[in-house]
Amino acid sequence: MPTAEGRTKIAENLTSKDLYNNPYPIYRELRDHEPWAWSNELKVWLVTRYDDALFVDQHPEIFTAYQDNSLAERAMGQGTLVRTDGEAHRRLRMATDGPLKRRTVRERWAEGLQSHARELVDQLIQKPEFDLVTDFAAPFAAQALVRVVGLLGVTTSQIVDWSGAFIAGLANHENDPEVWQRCEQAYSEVGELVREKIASVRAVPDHSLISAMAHANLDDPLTDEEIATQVRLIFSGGFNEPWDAIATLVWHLCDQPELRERVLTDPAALDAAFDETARWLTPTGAFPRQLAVDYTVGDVTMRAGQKLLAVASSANRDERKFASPDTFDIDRPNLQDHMGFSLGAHYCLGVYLAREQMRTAIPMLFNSLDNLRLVRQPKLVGWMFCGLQSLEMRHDTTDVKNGFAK
Amino acid sequence: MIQLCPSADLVPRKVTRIVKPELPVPLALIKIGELIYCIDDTCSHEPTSLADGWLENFEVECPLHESRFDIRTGKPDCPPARHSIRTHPVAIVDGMICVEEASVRMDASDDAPVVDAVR
Repeated sequence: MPTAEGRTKIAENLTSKDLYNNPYPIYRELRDHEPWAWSNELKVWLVTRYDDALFVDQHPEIFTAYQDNSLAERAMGQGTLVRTDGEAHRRLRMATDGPLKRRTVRERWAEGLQSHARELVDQLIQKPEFDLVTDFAAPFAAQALVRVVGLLGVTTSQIVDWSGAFIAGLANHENDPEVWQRCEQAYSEVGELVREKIASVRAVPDHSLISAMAHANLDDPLTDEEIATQVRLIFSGGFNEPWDAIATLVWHLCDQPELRERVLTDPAALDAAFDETARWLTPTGAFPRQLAVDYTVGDVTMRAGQKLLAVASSANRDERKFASPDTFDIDRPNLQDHMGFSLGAHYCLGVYLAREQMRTAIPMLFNSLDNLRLVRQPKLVGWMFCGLQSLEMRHDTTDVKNGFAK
Repeated sequence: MIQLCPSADLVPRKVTRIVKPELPVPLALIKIGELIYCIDDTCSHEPTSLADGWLENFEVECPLHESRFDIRTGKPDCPPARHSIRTHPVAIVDGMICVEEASVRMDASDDAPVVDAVR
């Protein structure tokens, strides 16, 4: 629709489809011309500059994580960690963060990550051509989560299906009924397994996240349904983010051999590469919020009750904040300022686990598979959630143990 | 000088929260060896008591999002905290740990919200 100046607004008729294949040129336009933009199709405000998105992230009294008729809650259940604020949010976070805490992750999960990565890489040795996304990143990230959550026996393909259903629901701005159908199935399948597990950990506690939630030391303990809701949420973000991040970092390390050498010899460089991946990719591309009050910025007035997306993937590519933002560069002086994990109260719960996954996976892949390289350049897709659909690779390691020759 | 607590009350390597009417903000005291460190007790990211967190070597970890602050410099080691907390020199006077009023006073500059969030 033309504005008073006769210019068509960029965001007005923007759809998920327009953003799916390559949102970055659109985000740049929005940042330059319409940094607070209403989309009629998506029914949200899009906030695309770094300073503005950070302001949203850090001002829950104006922009609440709580939303009426939230897509996330329709997909995964009422009262999810990501759609609560203040005390309600703290209560859920205190119940869930024990097994994911910085000082817990290494002692409790590192060994399991190491042995599972080893097992997967040994299988890849037999397979000179493979897809890193499906043959390594998916099972590695999925099974890590299965162990941490405590639902042993759940398969990688179940996690892929559930997680895919939940994030499709979370991004279902256009209300596709088929997406809701997938969500309902995933919702009940996860719910049932969680209820069984709760019954068993109530009798015999273990190290799992479900056990931590069931035994959380709170005045108002979590109900079984609340626990199931958080597990659904953890399956959505907790799987996709490391899944996409591992594949993306491997891709960049193949494209930049000098960087690869640094990352493989210097743990600090690997940690920086993890953060730069979180910035460059921003696997969770946007943070949904709702206006608590009317709020005016320049000539734009937003109304209480309207929904908004702090578009972290645009903020992380804002040239006002990050020089040459499309370049993958671990030496950025302000790397730590990226919004890939949020910088507010909703700072990513799984960040320490994800970091440990990366510290395990990256050296093991490159040190075990000779001349690991890309078959072709991959394609990045998505906007609410971004990642690679495949990363076709090749290596020259021969399986001496089983007598295979080159 | 503001009196905080008797030095004998401090347990080595335990973070002790000090709240007093004459203090503008809560403080935390930590005794390591013969030295006593004094910091602002509130995380610079989301208001919460660092005394509820964990001490490891010279770092105290926020119980909420786990940024670790160096108790000697006040600097956080990783996000989400990106701003230092204040550190304060203390003296022991007749067995009481004391801090200078000027050190703990909140100046206008300290009151300013997080720089990046200013519109």
